[in-house]
Amino acid sequence: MSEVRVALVTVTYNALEFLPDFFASLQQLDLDGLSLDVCLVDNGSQDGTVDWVRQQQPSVTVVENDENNYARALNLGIARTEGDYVLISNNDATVDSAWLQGMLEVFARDEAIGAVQSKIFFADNDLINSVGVEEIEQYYFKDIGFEEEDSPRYALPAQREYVTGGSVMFRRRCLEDVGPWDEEFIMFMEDVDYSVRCRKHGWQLWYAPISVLYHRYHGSSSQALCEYFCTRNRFLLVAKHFPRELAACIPGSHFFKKGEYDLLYRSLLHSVRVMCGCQDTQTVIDVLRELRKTLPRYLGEVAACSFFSHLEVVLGLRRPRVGIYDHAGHFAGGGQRYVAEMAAIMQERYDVTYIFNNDVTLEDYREWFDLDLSASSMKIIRIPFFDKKERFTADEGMVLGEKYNVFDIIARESLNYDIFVNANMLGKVNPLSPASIFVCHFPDQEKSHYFQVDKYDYLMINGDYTGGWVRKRWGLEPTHKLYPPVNMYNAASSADDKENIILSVSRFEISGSKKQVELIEAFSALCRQHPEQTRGWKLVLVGGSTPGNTYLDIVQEAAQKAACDIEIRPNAAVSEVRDYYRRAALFWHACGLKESKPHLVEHFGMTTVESMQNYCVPIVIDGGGQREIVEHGESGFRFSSLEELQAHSLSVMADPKRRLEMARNAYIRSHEFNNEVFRGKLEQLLDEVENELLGRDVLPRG
Amino acid sequence: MNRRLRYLRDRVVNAWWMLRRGELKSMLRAAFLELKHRVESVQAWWYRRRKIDFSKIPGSAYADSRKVCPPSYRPTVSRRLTEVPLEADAQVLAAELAGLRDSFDIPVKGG
Repeated sequence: MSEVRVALVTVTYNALEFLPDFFASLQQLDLDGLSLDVCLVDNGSQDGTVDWVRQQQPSVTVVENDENNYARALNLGIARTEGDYVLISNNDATVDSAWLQGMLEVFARDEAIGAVQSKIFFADNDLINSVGVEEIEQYYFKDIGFEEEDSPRYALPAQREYVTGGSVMFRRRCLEDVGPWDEEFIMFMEDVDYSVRCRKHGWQLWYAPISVLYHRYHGSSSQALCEYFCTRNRFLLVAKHFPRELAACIPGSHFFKKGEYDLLYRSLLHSVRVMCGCQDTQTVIDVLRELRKTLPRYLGEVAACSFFSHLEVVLGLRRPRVGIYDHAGHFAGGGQRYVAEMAAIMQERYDVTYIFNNDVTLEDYREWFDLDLSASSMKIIRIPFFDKKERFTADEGMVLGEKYNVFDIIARESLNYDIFVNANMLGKVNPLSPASIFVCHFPDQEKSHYFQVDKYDYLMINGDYTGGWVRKRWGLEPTHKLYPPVNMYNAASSADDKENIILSVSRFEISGSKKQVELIEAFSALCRQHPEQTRGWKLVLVGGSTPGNTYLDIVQEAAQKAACDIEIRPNAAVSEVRDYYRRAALFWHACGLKESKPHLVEHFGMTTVESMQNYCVPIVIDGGGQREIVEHGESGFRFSSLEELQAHSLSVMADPKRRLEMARNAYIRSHEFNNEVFRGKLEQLLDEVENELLGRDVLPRG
Repeated sequence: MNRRLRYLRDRVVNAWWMLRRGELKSMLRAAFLELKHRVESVQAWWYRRRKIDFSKIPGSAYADSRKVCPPSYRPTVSRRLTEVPLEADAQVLAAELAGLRDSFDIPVKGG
């Protein structure tokens, strides 16, 4: 009689503490008339499992799985084995000597037997763990005999509807006929699914009382993990095999009972997705219509509506839609540029719609920022509350005692998108899309009535300064930091071809917050006190200004009074600004000087980076975002007073070698804030958002 | 760590951060709003149980029970689902889903 070949597949995850006992018990097996090959699949253990097996059990075939997915591990292991029978077993266990023979005896009864399960006891007492699996109610399953004392009724082989994967032998022909294990299950209930499939293919499932395994219950997985996957996989099982029962299963699920609505929503999404891959069109449509009736009851109208829209994306029926809302989109500011750069990148992979409250066109954006947003569309939604008050720009500070949130009109619009981006910090817009991003340039509003920022999935900041204030004012933790993209590189710029120009580039704010007058005073004092060192040096103030700007008059008057070379260039063309950057040796920035209000301090300071990209040495205020850009003494200087500004400036004016070295350091430093870095980080964020959007299957943590 | 515990930890860290900087007022305000959100989410659950029309409740036109945690709570390990080849007819399915989506009538107050 020829030898029967049995292959054992066992999956490990940090199971080192159990393996010596398990392999020792295998040595005691009765192998009369059979041979046993062992294949161990490791799911990424960090406890040295793989090394131990390779050293201590050299005859064992070791396969390394790249993700902690039990069902996938089984498929990998089965594919690596040969033989007439494949045995799947836990390894946080020990086995009896008749373990294999007991199962093979049952197989000998009938060629239609596809799988045979052992009698499994708990290792720490004499109680039964499992002698098969049965359905208790509405697709919840339990081990037969669980925590019972062994008794004569489990003494004979018996047919079962379901078997557990803890210790079960399959006829190779059965595995080939039924196909691979469903990796969607990841872990838990994959055995129930396989049992159903075996029976659908006409195979019988049996239990063998002579084959005994002693199991350390949940020795290698937690109770919480078990509960999560059992509840999640119950929906998968129903969607695959009993789809018309899916809606009826919702109220009985643990997720619903425990109020874990997010997990309920996600699990249903996965299940319907799987159902669409294995059921005919009519069944799918019937189930969807049933869900339309029942979901609002369990998840609310908003989540239910979102569910069907979300499904379209998950099933790949359309590209994700992105809505970018900017209530101040009609201004050409730095914040708008930041978001327009985001939109330009996002439109490459999504259908992007810009949402504004006021008349503005994407052509305006091309003019203002030189960005082509032609692949995006635009929508104007007026907010009646502000129209009635004749306010041109929505101001959330005005929304205080209203009985309803006046921004609900935007919230309702957000439901039309898969990803909603609140681009300009309007904190009272409730995001109803499946994924949402709140872009915060600075939290200038306090938390108040209808505050919604904590409802967003992602809270993006433009630097640590903003992040600190987000924590302080809103008590929230930002999820992503993206410095504004700066691209003012000029091939004609070089560190050793500079003129004696100190440049400052800032808007001439009516409030004087950019401190141009103070810079003039500092330069004037410097020229007076150090005429030799400052001879030939010029201060150039460049920046945007509005007609009738009284502060610009004050700046010009101050420049005229100062007995030194000062040039004021309001509203200079971009080409002119680029040329100044190329020629200037030093760069000054003082926004935030002597300010106690955080919003008056420069949140980031893009012009500082622009100067650094052109080999200017930055001497900037020691506050706000400037601290993140300029490394004091390395790639420039930071000052706290005008005296310090003068001292640092003199030190580089008098030492060309040092200026040269610092200019080169500044240039290198500036690469941290350029377009490529911005694109890379944004794409990383979008990948993460897509993971959320296209499933976000929570994997067991390592 | 349990996600609720992680959430609580984040809130405590933020509160401690504020206290260390002498921002007691900010901390109390954040705590008050946090409490308010919790109460709102319990209210939403209760309304849903009683099948009350959200749109008729002042201040909670859009209760979305999926989102009760702020951004500082994110799952740490997640993966994108694999693509599933459709057995069902894609065109019919797309039309059906669009129809179901459009069948929702979610009102806007003051719109």
